[in-house]
Amino acid sequence: MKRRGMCFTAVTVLVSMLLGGCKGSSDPDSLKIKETKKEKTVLTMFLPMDGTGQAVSTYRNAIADYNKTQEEVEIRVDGIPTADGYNEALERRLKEGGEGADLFVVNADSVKGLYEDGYFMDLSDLSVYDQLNENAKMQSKIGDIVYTIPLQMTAYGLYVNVEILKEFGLEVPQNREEFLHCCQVLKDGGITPISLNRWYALTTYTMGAGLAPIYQAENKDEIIAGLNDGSVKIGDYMVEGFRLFQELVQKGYYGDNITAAETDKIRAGIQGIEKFRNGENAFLASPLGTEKGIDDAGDGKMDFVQIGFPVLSDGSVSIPSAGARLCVNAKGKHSKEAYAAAEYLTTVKFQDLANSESGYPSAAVGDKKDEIDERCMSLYEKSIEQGQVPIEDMSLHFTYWDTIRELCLKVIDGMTPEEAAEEYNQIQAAQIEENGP
Amino acid sequence: MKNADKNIKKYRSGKLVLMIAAIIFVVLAAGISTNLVGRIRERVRSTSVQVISELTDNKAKVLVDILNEAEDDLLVLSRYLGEEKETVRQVQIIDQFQATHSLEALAVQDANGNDIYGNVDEMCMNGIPEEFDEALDVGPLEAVWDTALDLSGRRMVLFGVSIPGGGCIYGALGAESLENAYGETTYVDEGYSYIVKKDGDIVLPPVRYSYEQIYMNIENLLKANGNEKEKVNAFMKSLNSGDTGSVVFSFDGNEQLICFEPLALDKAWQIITVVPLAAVEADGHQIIRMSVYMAVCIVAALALVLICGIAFFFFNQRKQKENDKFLRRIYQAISENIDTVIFILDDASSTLDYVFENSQRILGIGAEEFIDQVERIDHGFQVKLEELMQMERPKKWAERELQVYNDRMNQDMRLKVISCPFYLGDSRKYIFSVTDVTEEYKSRENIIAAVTAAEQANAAKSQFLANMSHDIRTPMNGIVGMTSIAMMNLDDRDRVEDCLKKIDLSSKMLLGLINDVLDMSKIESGKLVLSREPFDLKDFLDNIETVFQNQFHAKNQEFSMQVQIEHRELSGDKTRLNQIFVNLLSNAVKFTPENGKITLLVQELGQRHTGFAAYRFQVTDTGIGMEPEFLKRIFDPFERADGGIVNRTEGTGLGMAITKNLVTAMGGQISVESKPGQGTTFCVEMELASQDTSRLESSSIKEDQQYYDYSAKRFLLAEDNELNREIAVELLGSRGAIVEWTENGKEAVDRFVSRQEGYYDAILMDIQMPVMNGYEAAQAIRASDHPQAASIPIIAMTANAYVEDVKAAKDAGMNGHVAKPIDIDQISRALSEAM
Repeated sequence: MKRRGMCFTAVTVLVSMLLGGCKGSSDPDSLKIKETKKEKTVLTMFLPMDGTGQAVSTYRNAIADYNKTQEEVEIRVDGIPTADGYNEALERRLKEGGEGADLFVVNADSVKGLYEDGYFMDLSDLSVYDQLNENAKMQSKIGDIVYTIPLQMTAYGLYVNVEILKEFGLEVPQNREEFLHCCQVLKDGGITPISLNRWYALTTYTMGAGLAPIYQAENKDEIIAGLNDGSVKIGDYMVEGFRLFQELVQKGYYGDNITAAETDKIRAGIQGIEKFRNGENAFLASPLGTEKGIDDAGDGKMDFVQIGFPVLSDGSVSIPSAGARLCVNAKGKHSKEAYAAAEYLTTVKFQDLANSESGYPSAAVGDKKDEIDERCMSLYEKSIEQGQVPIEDMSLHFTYWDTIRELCLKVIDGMTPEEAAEEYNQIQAAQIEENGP
Repeated sequence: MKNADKNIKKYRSGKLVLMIAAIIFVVLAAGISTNLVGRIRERVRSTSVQVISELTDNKAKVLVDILNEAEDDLLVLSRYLGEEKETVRQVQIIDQFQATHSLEALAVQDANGNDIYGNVDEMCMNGIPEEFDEALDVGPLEAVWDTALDLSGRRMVLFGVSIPGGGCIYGALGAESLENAYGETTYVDEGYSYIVKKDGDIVLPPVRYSYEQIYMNIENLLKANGNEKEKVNAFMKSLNSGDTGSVVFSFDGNEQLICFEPLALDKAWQIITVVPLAAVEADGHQIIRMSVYMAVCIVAALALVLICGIAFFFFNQRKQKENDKFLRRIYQAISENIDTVIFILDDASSTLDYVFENSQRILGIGAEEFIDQVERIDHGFQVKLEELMQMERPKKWAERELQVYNDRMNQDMRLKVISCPFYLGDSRKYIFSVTDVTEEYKSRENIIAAVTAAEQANAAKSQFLANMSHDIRTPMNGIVGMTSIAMMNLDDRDRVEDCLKKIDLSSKMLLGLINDVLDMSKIESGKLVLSREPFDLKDFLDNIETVFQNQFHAKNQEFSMQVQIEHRELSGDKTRLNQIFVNLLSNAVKFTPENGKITLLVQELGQRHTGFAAYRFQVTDTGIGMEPEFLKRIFDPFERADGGIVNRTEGTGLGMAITKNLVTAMGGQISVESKPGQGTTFCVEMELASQDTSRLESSSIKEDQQYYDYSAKRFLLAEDNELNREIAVELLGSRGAIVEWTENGKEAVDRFVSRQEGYYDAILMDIQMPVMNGYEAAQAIRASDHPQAASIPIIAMTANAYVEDVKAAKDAGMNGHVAKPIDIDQISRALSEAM
């Protein structure tokens, strides 16, 4: 009887479950009214679509999460490559009223100009600011405001294809002489030593060689003060950088017979990475974090190291930079919503971003050395040393990142280092005059 | 219960089959479910792809329509402007055009390159591309268009149309407006679309996900996200070929379904719609989940039913098993306690379903041997039984008996076989019950024989009584008759003496007769006790011969004795041995006519046991012999052969029965050979204990011949029977003794105790007396404080003449035992020994 009772109960439960499962679906033929969605405030985030897209990739998931969680606001992303005129487009959008750039990522060379025009909302009140390390904080300030919250830091350095150097009996260069020797040996061996693009393939070597003496000088502050009041000519320092660049160009280390026009068409990014990966170039100037792209471009991990640019007679120098300078348009129509979005993106997702295995040095306080690829450790350690050249020194009253790029293009077309230095002096004077001391 | 093993095997095999069935069911259910889920997934995917492809197709048509419309509108505008030469009028036409069209930007130059409407330099970032202007120079009939960036970095489609007669129009459609026009999202806001060139370069990125523009080419996007190169290459080849299709790639952190088709434009652009696969399959997953849920429910229901079924099956099996076990125990108990083997035979298959396990005990064949369907090699008992069961299929209850030799038990058996048909369900079965009735049969035979024997015995006893009547009356007649004659001739001493001799002879005959009857009674009641005393066999035989000499002479019979022995000094019950010889020789004398010949042959055989000597005693006569029928009964009690001669002889008919029993009791055998008219030979073989001392008997014999004088002796006689008392007093008195008597034991005790020491010389004590019997009286005397209590000789004088009576007398403290009738010589010997 007991077993029969159990069987009966089991059958009853099962039948109930089946009947329960069949119930609950409404009549599919009945009238259905679609719920009207509330119109969302659309915030446009304008981004430079450059290189490996650090700016984009940093915020991709954060934006997706934000859009999923917000009911009234939506972030839409728009962007063009810097090479296609991102800086100009950004400036235009901001001037148009900012609807096309409620949130934006600014390139280092545009910061000063936009700051002068008052497009940066001060983000110093964001709680995450206090969690930034000193390096990141230094990169986030201009004048008396915090114009950006750099969630990740990076540093430009030189990726060296160790395998190729070994093939030619070379070792990783540690200074300018060794670097040039390597270039020459490789060139003689039929290899184009240095990867070329329209951007940091030009600026980094030149800037490193030209500006390192300023930032490594004991009287750095004094020099910078002199540069800001015009008493110290930038050309006096940069001429050495242009000379190095001219040598690299003239000896064909970027390739034979390059022209400024053709060079200006070569975008930074995947193309250069692939050439470095497949051994067409032995040296690739690129920010820390590119190693994943390099590995992904081939089969597995590549035998390379990333070091500071060995452009100094006594060593190398790196170019630290903020990963992606997220800013809020202070004059935008939706600046309030944009500020809240920026707070979400930076504050709420700060830990996620900082903890992600991006390969970038963290912007957060604390040693995140463990996250650095061992092959890039040399550059990382160099980047946190004193005397490195910031990608753009916001305390200077003139720009150098984009200016140097343009002057390098002219050097390619035959301008002498001295002429380039002199032109830079004039630019320095003009911008000091325009921006004021 | 061999069938129980079959049931267990069936149960186990059933269990195995069920287990296999359950596993197959589960595997099949899982397989079918998996297959169905796969088919549902495939179907849902197919439907989704179809829907997305249709959406993509619609988008493409809308886009193409917009572009074609813009192109057509600009061509119309160019014709109007070409027909109008005045700039002012041209501007008015353009204003009207702009008012009705939604171009993002419009700029018109005259034939000299002067702007007459808008600013051509501000149309595009970095100006109008040279190649665009070069294409524009082809002519006014066709519009030129391509994608470009405006000054704010926004993508647009730039149109260029030559104005007939000189000049050109530049118009721009913003990418955003285009996208809005053809739908910025697809598939419940989850999907989006790209417009790409056939080489994969992204022409128009989607609004919401344009950050994928870091990849300027769709190929780079796919490869950079780790998709297989071969797959990407195949996709790019399809794009280049203008194919329509779908594919799944992984990027943007998820698997994405890509549907693509060419736009109907001369630019060979493709529209690619991307929908996260998760979104595509969301409904499918829901359906699959529901299907799986449903399948699980169904499978669970089926499994439950199956389990219930199996459980029910096993429950029934177990119940059946328990029932079987219960029945088996009952059957086993039954089979252990009955002498009938039950067989159950299936009529259809003619095979045995069931055999009781007592078949081994009763028939000598194990149950399993009947059950096992093996070919029988021999054709013995088992085969006969099986053949019987195969052949005997009566329609109703039937019984028969079978006499058969059981080669397993090596015996003849009488079996009672009852067969009875019955139905078990639809199966017709037969029960065969086989009972061993051999013993019963034998018992029955024995009973019949016993009855016959009893009847014979009864008849024999009747005959015996008749004989006894005759045999007792004969000497009694002599005694009574002779007594009467003596009394009539008291004065004639010779006559009286002759009468007394005949009376004495008749009395002894009567006494012998009584002794025989008593002996037989004793033997039959199992009370025969043999004594053991030394004797000389030769002397014993000589004595026998002497005793019978008169009888041989009387019938003029020739007697010869041949003795061939080594050991003559033996030990045994000489009296009983004597009785054997007396019976054998008396019979010989009795049934051998005058002048006949009687021979006694005594041979010592080879020694069989240490301390014993084996002998053969053979008595042969030339007498009347016996019929074979009587020979069979000669040793039965009360048997006496019929026939005139026999009837003329005297005897109780117990002689040979007594003889046989005595021989048997002494460990020997007796046999007889006889033919009517040719004489008879009795042969006795027995072992007698040998002993070293000899000649003891001869001295006692000498003592027996002594005359005892009891003058001056006083005896106390305790005897309740007056006649016996008188005889004893007279006989002892004739030897000079003074006899005082009492009527019971009590008086005897009192008398003895009351007399002084030495007053009595001995006490003669009857046993069966009123008030106090002899044993009690003897014990009381021995226990008394009379000075002679322990020493006074007490002789039992009783009709209780058995050995055990002698022992009882001794146990009571008496010194000797004399059997009645009173013989003065016996009394004298007993007194002599005791005194």
